[in-house]
Amino acid sequence: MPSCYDVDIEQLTKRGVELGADFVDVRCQEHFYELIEYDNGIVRNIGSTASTGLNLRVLVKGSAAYLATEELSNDKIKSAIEKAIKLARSSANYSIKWDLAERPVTVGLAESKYTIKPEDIDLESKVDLLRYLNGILRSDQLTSIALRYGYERDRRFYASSRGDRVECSTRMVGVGMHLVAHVEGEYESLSDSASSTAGWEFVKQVDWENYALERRKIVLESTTAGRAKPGKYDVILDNEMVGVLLHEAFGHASEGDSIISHESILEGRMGEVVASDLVTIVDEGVVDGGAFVPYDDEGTPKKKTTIVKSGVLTSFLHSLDTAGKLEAEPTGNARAMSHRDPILVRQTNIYMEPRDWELNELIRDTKRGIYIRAIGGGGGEVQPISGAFTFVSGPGYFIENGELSRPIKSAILSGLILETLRNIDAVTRDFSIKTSVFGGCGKFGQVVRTGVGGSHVRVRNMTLGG
Amino acid sequence: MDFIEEALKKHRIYGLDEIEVYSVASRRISINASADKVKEPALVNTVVHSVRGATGHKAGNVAIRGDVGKVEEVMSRLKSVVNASSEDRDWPGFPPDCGVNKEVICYDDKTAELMQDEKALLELFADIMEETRRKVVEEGAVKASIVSAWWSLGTTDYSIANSNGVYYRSPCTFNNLAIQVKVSTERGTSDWTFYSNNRRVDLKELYEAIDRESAIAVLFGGSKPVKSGKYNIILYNNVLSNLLSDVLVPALSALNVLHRRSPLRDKLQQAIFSEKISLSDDPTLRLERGSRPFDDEGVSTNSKALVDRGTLKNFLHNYYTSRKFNAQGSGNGFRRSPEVSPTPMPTNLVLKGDSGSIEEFIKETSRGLVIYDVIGQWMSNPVTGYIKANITHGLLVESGEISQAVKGSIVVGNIYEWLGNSLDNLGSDTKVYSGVAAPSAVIRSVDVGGE
Repeated sequence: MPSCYDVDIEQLTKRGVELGADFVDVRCQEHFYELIEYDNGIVRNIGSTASTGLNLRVLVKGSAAYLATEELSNDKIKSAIEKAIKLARSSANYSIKWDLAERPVTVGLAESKYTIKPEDIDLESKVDLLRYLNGILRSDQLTSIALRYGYERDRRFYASSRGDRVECSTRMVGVGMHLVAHVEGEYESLSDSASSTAGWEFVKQVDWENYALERRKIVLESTTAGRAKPGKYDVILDNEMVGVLLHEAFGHASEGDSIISHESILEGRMGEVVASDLVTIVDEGVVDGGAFVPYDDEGTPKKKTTIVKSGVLTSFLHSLDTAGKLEAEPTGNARAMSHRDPILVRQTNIYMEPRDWELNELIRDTKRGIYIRAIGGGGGEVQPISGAFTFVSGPGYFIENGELSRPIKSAILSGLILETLRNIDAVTRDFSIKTSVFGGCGKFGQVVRTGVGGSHVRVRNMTLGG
Repeated sequence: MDFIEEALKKHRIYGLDEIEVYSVASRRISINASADKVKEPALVNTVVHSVRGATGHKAGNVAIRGDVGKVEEVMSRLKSVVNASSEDRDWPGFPPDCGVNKEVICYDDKTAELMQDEKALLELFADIMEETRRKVVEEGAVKASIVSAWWSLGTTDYSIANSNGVYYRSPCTFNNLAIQVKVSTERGTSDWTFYSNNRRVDLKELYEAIDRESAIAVLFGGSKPVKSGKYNIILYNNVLSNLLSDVLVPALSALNVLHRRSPLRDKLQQAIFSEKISLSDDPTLRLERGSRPFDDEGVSTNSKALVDRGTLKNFLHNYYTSRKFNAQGSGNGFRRSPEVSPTPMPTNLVLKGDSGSIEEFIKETSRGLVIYDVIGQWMSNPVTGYIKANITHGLLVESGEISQAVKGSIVVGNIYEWLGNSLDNLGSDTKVYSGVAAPSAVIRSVDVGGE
């Protein structure tokens, strides 16, 4: 297969400027994804996808255009840059003018940590891992056991006519499961995965027996569990659920492109109190347990960005363009799913900074409520313009008189951005972040890898239904 | 010799008994807009080849995007993947040639022509945004602006070939348009998004949609949660389409039936819904999202009843499940991504409408909710049929009249109850949304959580 090393991307940016572009940047991506699906004792899918492609972005008198191609011969690429410039000129009468923020030129090389390349492990060993898990999980009460192994290698090259040169490589590996249980005439299901920005050593380190048996226990218990009647509850969210809450309830609304399009309820609120003073929200590119984003797809180093500090809105997330338009510093949040896609402002790893409660203490302090856990949860969604967000939890527990009591099924939670984070009245000191090689955050049809996490928190009076 | 022919010719050299090559070449122009203006146009050309091979009862898949490189490298990778796979005694091989569905229309000359003139397209997009703003103000908004919009149209060339003699090619067009408008009224600020997701750009139809959707866009100012309780609900057609896709379609998959993760297994020929419900799979709808003459395995698509007057008649089959269940009429094997084998999915799903409009349903409702849009419904559970969604655009109805706009309230229930004993009525306002045709529906006594 062709490689990005075969493409003279420096020459390309020069050629674009010679043809009249004020700015040119080039993204070249080599991507490999391996997926094995083991469905009730049968290898249903085993295979991989490899791709190499290029994205050119040009600015001509403030108007932008993209061109994406997977034909990497010199002739095709030369013709591509000419087409991109023509397209940018065509849009001049209708387009918003771009305003790329200035920043120091970036020259960088980064690679996520790993010790064993999954490519060096034979496929039989990967199938054997799933076969082993299937054996552990097998039970008369589990009617369906679907397992999967995923591995992603993503190498991205970036160059711009400003002189930026960045190469970034990431490896992620993970195992997922979808279990269906049948107990006392009732059915229930649970999906979950464990992933890491790492190599095969992650697979060797995890205690898969414990991992699988815990999930089997959860789905069996939830099959006969009760549902929470729709209404208002005090809830304690676990580490991952807090991350999902922040990602949906605040992260999306803080993305600079939604501010510029007047789509976010946070527009015009910089410096205002938007959450309880216990709340500090951070977006950071490289953090234990999370996705690996040391540079964004415009070559900007990803800073540790504090979006909310002790309840006060302190920063939005930016690309070069949104930073330029809003007179802010670029934060390194310009991301694209692949070489085929345009840049959007996206989160990286979003988390809640810890405080001083202990989880046991927090449960004891809660007279009546629900302990919301992420295992088996379904993610979330938000409408930044109305401020409405939602997310689905995994099975949890009622809290009665300061103790975990009856199990409850997966529930849907709902809130309004400017209300919910004000109702947080306790944050614990424990901390963890989670990512996934099987999914991520979706926006305008693009899915990018993200991490979510933080501490346990208690939210008073949250809308919930099972 | 092109890649497909070379792969077909050389598979036995690599010890593969059978081979299938599925290729998709796509060319599209996409335009994004933000704050009433075009943000950027993009031209995107892609090609993906997905090669499945089998030896005995072991099969595997290798996909390559862009330049394939040497066929030998692909076949060598495929052989190692197949070797690592496990024996599946039910592996039926690849399908024989059974022709294609000649009634299907998936290519629209006008759409293909439109994408050739980038400047004209940009001008048209600007006009669509302007007309939407103008129309929303005409409907009573104080101010309207396009916060975001995207339009992607192009051609997709599907090719499928296998070592059993199947070799078909079908060029299709596609059109995906979404416009999100921010609306200021005297009651407050809200938004509305409408979509056109099919295989055609029909300007008359598009401007009619702008008229229709603009009237809806002005309804939601001053929205707030409702009190928790039981409500009769009126589901707008788009909402019902999404619920059918997210909750019912997985349950109709014969693969999920086979692996005991569908609540519909053992329910064939049994009543699963109200007699008002008739549901079919129809690839012959003209230029809709699921209109395809053959599936991703090269099997001819065909129209079939799935549910007839409430009784389950058929599941959706790919070639594997059709052989396993000895079922008639497969043609529903589609890939969710290139590296994954085809699984059963619908072409176009059609829920037959009845009579009545949203306006009539509102007049007949003493206390209820009209649900125009939700978020999070995709997190519902198809294994149990349990629905969970968050109402973002709703209207509270009291004594036959709209009394308040609603947001931030959750709605939960079970699709087999909603479309079963709780179903009161289906409307005549069937709309095709992303390959799913559904009318509005009235459902009694649904749990809603809010204040």
